[in-house]
Amino acid sequence: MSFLIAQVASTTPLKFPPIEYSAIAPELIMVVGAIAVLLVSSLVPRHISKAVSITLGSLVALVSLADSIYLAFQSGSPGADKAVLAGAVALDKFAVFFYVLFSIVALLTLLAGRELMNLDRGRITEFVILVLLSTSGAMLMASALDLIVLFLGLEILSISLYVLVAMESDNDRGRESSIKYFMLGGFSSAIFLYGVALVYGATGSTNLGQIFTFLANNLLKSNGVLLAGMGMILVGLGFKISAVPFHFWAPDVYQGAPSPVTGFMAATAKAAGFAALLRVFYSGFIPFQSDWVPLIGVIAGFTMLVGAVLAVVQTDVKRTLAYSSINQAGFILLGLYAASARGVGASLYFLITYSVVIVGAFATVGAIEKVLGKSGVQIEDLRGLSKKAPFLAFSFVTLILAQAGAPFTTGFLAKFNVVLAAVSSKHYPVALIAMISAAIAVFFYLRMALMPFRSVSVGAESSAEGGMSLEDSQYGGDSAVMVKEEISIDAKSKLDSATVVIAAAVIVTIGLGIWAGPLISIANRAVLLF
Amino acid sequence: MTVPGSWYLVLSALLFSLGALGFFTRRNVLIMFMSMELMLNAVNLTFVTFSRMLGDIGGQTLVFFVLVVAAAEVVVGLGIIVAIFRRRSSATADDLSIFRG
Amino acid sequence: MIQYLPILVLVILATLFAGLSIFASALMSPKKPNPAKSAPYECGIIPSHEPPERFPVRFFLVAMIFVVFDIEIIFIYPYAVISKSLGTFGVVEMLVFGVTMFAAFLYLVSNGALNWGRIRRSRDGDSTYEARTSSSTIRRVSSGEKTAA
Repeated sequence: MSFLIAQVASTTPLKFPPIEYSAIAPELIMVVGAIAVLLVSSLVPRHISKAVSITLGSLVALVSLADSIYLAFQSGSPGADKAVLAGAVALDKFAVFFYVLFSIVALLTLLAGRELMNLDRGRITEFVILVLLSTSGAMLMASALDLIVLFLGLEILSISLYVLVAMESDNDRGRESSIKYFMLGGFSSAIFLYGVALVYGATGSTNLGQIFTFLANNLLKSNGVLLAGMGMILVGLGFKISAVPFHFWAPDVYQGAPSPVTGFMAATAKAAGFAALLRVFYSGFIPFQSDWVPLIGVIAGFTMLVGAVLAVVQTDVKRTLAYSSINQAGFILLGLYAASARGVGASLYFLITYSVVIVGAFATVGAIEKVLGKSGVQIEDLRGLSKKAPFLAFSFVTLILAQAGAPFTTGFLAKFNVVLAAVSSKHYPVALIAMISAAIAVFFYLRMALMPFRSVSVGAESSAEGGMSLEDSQYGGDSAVMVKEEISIDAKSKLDSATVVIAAAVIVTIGLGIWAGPLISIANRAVLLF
Repeated sequence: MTVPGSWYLVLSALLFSLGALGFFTRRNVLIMFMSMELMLNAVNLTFVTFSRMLGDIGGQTLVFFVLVVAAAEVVVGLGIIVAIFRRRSSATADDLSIFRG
Repeated sequence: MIQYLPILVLVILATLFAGLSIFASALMSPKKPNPAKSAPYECGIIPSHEPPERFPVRFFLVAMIFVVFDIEIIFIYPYAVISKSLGTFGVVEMLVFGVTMFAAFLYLVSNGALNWGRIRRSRDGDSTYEARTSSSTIRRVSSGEKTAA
């Protein structure tokens, strides 16, 4: 106790570490913006309208995006990468990469949520606030250099998400999936935290830089505690990125949550999980590489296979997409398993393209739910969609094919690069599993992609039409723009900003799929350490 | 007589396992919830013990953060539980059966 | 120390005996569960509805607000202990912290979280139902089937 009292009793002024507010400005903008929206909504006598709150929220996200891009240009200069706030937060290209990604996803989610969330009056403000706060948590996770800061980011992200999943009125499924998500999320957080405690005990610090120095300089006589801690951190983060065998919550939650929230969750929570995984293992535990890299390989293999195989037997669109996203998580893990700059760069490229695609895909599903007037779209319900809502059908097919890895979409290069990185690191078995799972996945992706072109009465001519649809989606962004304009005229009344979101996702997916160079080089420059 | 630090570590490991066990075997959502809290508090005990063993006050400040996060989780969790079970009668996980598989 | 040994032995013996009895009975007793047997009350009457809640849900709301404020105190205590050496910076930090909390509190108040209002009786109509006759509410244990409407 004496050392404690000694520290407490000293009355000399403490030396504070310098605080670089500019380094955490994107997080600060999100948090302050959320609190400002909160204050406005509670001080204005009546509920502020949907348009106003979404506009305010989008403004906040835009400012944060602008600041992130500003930081990105700043961090281009040599020596700009550094640890700030007494080594608790990193300001480097990796963090800035995720700042930009999360700001974009938040913006898209807010716009999509405007029409696609069924909320009671006034609740839209809460939606805006929670999306902003949860994004700030994700940003903190990506930039944290200290395990406890990482944990705080994780909880800010997750706790907001628990509420977001449950907040739709008259959605019992949402509430039920929320409690599942909450229970398993809390459980995984506890496991993660126990891992942090064990690592703290073994190395004497929760700071990743200090952990790295300790592990690099000291030979541990018995490293059981450290290995257990690392394992538990891996398990805790494995839950967040829904890697097999910690994936079982994902399908239920993805299916039950409101579609825009599902898209947000699939993009932000997963990307933040991967950012944390990369940060912790590549900048903290890299001296123990030989212990955890094979483990990631095993998890990657199982995640890809199980995701693809279980997706085949699903009948619900959102559930299928959930398994598909598990499958994609396996591919991203494959890049980490390659343990090379190339692999991590490929993973980051995969993450950013996947995030845009998945937000767009779930927004499309939400819009389809609106058009069909039912919640819980089955794959069979998509029949005849190309006649009812050609724009939605087209975007749905494009975004599904992008996930399948069709050429001329971002998905193709993403999968290709990841597998290539694994091959060049001589991880042949897992690369083989990746190809097999991609082949299995094509089956269910095509089944979903062809369904909108089948006629409502059981049609036999579907295969011919399906072939045409494939071709259509391959030929470029021009047709995407054309179809978008055509539809947005007749759907203007109901699905304004959601249409913008979907169109943006489709254009990005096809456009950057054809003109892929810049994004790949950005992703390659954002890798840690190497 | 002083108790060596490793005993506390063993105790907290036991508490953590008990919490995990309770989480998986109990069906009442509230009790699952309590098990989660038990796990978090076991972590707190670990932090404090290590902090004491290492002579580093950092570990004790971490406990504050964990406590606050746990409280926030309790509030949100109870909110969701109340929102669900206002409509239903009992609070068991088996009743949550919209989803299968 | 040594004089407490018998107590320890007794405790161990008692625990062993209790554990063994439970284990043995679980091992040897016949198990033929059916829905009626595993119902909370095995007297055959199916409850028509759950008993009314003991307190309004609003109680939880207030309790949750309490938990949050209760926990915030733990940040204020350490600050109070070393407030002198923290100086102006500490004051500003605590102000920011307080403003954030106050914003949340303001939101709660504006949403009516602290309005107690009238307590609604949780009485959903008459408690006698015409459909509930003795034949419809009594479970036949032999088949284990629910026969109630």
